[in-house]
Order: sequence, then structure tokens, then C-alpha cells
Amino acid sequence: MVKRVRSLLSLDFYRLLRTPIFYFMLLVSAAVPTLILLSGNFENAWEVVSQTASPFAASGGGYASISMIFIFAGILLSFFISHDFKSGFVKNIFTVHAKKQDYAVSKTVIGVFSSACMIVMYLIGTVVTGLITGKSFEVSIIGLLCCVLSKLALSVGFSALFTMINVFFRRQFGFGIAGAFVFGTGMLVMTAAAGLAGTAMEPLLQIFLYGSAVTANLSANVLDVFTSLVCSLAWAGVYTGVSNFILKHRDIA
Amino acid sequence: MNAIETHGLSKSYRKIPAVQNLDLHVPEGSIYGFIGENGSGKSTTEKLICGLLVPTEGEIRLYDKPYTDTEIRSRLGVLIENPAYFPNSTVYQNMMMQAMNLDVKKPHNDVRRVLELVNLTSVAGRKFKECSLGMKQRIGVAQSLLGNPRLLILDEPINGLDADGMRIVRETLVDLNRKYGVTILISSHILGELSKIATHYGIIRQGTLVREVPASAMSEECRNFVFVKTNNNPRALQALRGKYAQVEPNADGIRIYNEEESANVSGFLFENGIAVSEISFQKVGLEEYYLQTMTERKEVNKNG
Repeated sequence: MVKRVRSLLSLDFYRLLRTPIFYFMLLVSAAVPTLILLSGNFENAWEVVSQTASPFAASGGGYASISMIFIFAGILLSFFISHDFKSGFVKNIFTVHAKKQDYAVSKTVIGVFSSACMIVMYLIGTVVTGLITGKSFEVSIIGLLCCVLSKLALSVGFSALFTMINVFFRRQFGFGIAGAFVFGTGMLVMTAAAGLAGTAMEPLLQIFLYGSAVTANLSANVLDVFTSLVCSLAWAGVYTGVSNFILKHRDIA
Repeated sequence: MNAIETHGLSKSYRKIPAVQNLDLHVPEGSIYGFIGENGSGKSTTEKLICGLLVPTEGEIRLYDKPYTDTEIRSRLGVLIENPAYFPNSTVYQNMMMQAMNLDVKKPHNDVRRVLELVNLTSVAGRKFKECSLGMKQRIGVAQSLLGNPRLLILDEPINGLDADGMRIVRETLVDLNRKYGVTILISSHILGELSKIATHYGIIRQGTLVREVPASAMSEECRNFVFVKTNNNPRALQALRGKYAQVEPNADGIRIYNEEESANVSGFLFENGIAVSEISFQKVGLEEYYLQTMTERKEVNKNG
């Protein structure tokens, strides 16, 4: 399987690095913390990365966090996958790759790689703007590191989710982008949180990707990283399984 | 061994059958001309073999292994309908991606090799969407040759090509088949061109395989005849029918299916005061054979 996916990955990376929207998304990832820092009333630059508490029901600047890169990764994957189907190149892929899960795995890896690049750009944007505007950088290094690692771990699950959505909608990338917003902003989890906030059930929200993403804040620890990783891998397995099922049972072209 | 073998292969779209109970046998090392009317199920069959469609029923085997076998699939060169490339990427980039997809060891070299084969190295840097239809077809053929395929599946590869383009594609395919034993399944409406290279034929109608025949056997079935054009064809026809058993009017001339007596045709007509303006020995071609087969089939269907 590694050999099979490797050939698909080399093709996807070759294409990704020649796709203008990838670089555009990197720029957006760097610009977003800059805009938030410049427009908001923040004393500490790291506040745009994440909060120190876990506000499930977001209010005000609740969305202003590094978790936004999940939306950007979702948009990128929507373009990436829908163009496979629109151009018909998908025929070339599936003629060679009889095992349909290879496709989902490769796109998920592309999503994780893109997310990692966007996280780096987001951090660069934060640091540069923070330095220019003279913000404080006081933070628990372990907390920051665990927060970033958790987000990276969660990008596996999110990428698998966006891959599944786009494999289902194929050419209609509008649905893929809508899915990126619905799931990337954690709308469903937020809605659930509105009813569960403050109750004994609230920690259960962590079993969802966005729930874990919110919990992985600047006061995160190694356990949170582990929780995020387990949650992410479990959902990635489910979503990849569904993608595989869809690809196996529907005509490609 | 057969390179492609299907057993009871069927595919329906919303209960409307596109391919029914198809038993196809493409011998290894052959050039298999797959012919049929528009919508007869050729492309559907080819897509099924390539794993792009999910069969409703039946089995597909490639080189006696299930068609999902990874190793065999990586040696499959395909061009179905039209080349499937990213329009904003260059020809070279698109071909590089396909070479990587096939896990070709030195993709750059292989891309250059196949582009040279179809005389298109000059357009490597051009965006795919900026290429003409003929170029795109040749690029598609070149793409199918990446990674030294063992089996080629080509759907209308010479569509939109000029005479020179057709010749290049034909020669390339024959070369691959003869030198490297590549098996080729090729569908085309340009039967004259197909008849120059095919070693076997499969005729499909309304999703059903009507006939599978080696080119040599077909050639035996296709009778020789003498074709004559005269200054008075109706009179000539009448006179010839009195002398020969099998005489048929055809287009602007007459056919006499009797080789032994053919030398006397000209003299016989002269004796009857009919001037011959053209006389030649001919053979029923693929196109006519195909049309005859289809007509027979239609009559069989009509008679239940």
C-alpha cells in the first residue's frame, strides 16, 4: 500500500506545489492573524493563536484563532479534489489505482501538509505583526507547543473529513467549501455546546474534531495533544472508510 | 492467454442496460478492433475494463487475474473519450503527473520519449487548453504510452486527427504491437484506418457482442469480386445476370462474384455491345462487412 500511495502522493505534491491557490491560502493564513491583531484589542500576540480557556460557544473573538486554518485547508481541498473530477484527470488516477482508499489517503496527506504550512504561516504572521505593533509575547511555551501540535494532529481528521465531503460532491466544489465552513467553524459543535455548556456532558464534546480543537488551547498539555491525536485518527479512519465506500460504489466517469 | 476476458459483463444506468452479458476475449498480443454504432456500449465496456464504472454484473479478468490487480493496472495505458488533463497546466506538467501516477522511474525521460514518438516535443511547454483538438488527441495517445504499457485501451484515438496524425498514431501502435507485443484494444469509427492494423475484431450492437472474429477469418468471409462500370449499367446487369450466378448492382457499378470467370467479363460485355469504362478486382472491406453484420443482426432481431 505504501508504494501505491507513494506514487499518488508524488503526483499530488507535484500538482499542489504548482497550484496558485495553495500559495494564496498560505498568504491568507499569514494575513489573517495580522488583520485580527491590527483590528482587535489584544495585549498579547498569542491571543490570536488561541485562548487560554475553552469557549465552546464562541463569542466575539472566539473564532479568531489558528483553528481557522481548518477552513482554509477545507477550501484548498475542495478546489483540489473538484478539479480532479472536473478535468477528468481522476480517470487517469483510478485506471492505475484500483484500490480506491489510496485516493482518500493521498488527499488527506495533502490536507495535513497544507494545514502544517498554513499553521507555520499563521505563526509567522502573528510573530511579525506582534513585533511590529509591540504586543506582548508572554506565554507558556509548553502550552503553545501543545496547542500547535494538537491543531496539527487534528488536521488529519479535518483533512479526511473534507476529502470525504468532496469525494461525495465531486465537481460541485461549492458544497465542499460550504462543508469547510460548517465543519471548520465547528458550527454543529457550537450548537451542541449551547445546550451542553456548564453541564457534566460538556467534556463529551471533545470526542468531536472541533470540540478537541477548542480544548487544545494555550493552556493545553501533553494529554490534550494525545486526546486530539486519538480523536483525529479515529475520525480520519471513519471518514476515509466512508470515502472509500463512496468511491467503490459509484461510477468514476 | 487472453489479455482481456469478460464473462457475463453487464452495466445498467437506472435500469437501462448499456452493456448486456458481454463475453469479450482479447487475445494477448493482438490489436483488437472494437466496433459498433454510437451508443452501442463500446466506451462503457472500455470504462468497465479500466475500473471507471462499477459493473452491474459479471466478471472482468486481465491476463487471467482479477482486473483490480495492482501490478496489471500499473501497466495499462488508456485513452478514453478524450485526454483527461488539467487545462491550466502545461502538456509537460500534465504528462509528468501521469508518469508519477504510474510510478515511472525516470518520469522526465519517459515524458520526452513519448512526446517524441508523436512528434509533439515542441508543445511541451504549452498549456493544455491552448492545444488544438488534433494535438490533444496525440497528447492523449502519448500519455497512454507512458510507463511502457502491456495493454493499451484506446477509445477513438484517431478522432480529429489529420492524415499525417493518423499515420503517426497508426505506425506507433503497429510498432508497439510488433516490437514489444503490446496488446491493443481500439475502438474507432474510422473503419478503413482500423482495418489497416487490427488482427481481431469485436462487433457490438445495443450493448451485446454480435461477433468476435480474427481478421484472417474475416478476410476469408469477405469475398472477392469484379467491379465493372459501363456506359449502360442496367443493360449490363441484365446481360451479366444471364451468364453469372451472383451479380449485384452496387453504387455506380456492378459486382460479379465469380473469380474464375472474371477474365471473360470484359469480353462478354463487349460482345453484347456494352462499353466498359472501368473494371477492377476488389474485396469486401471492413466497413461493408460491418454493415452486413449489423443488417443481419437487425433482421434476426426483427424476426424474433
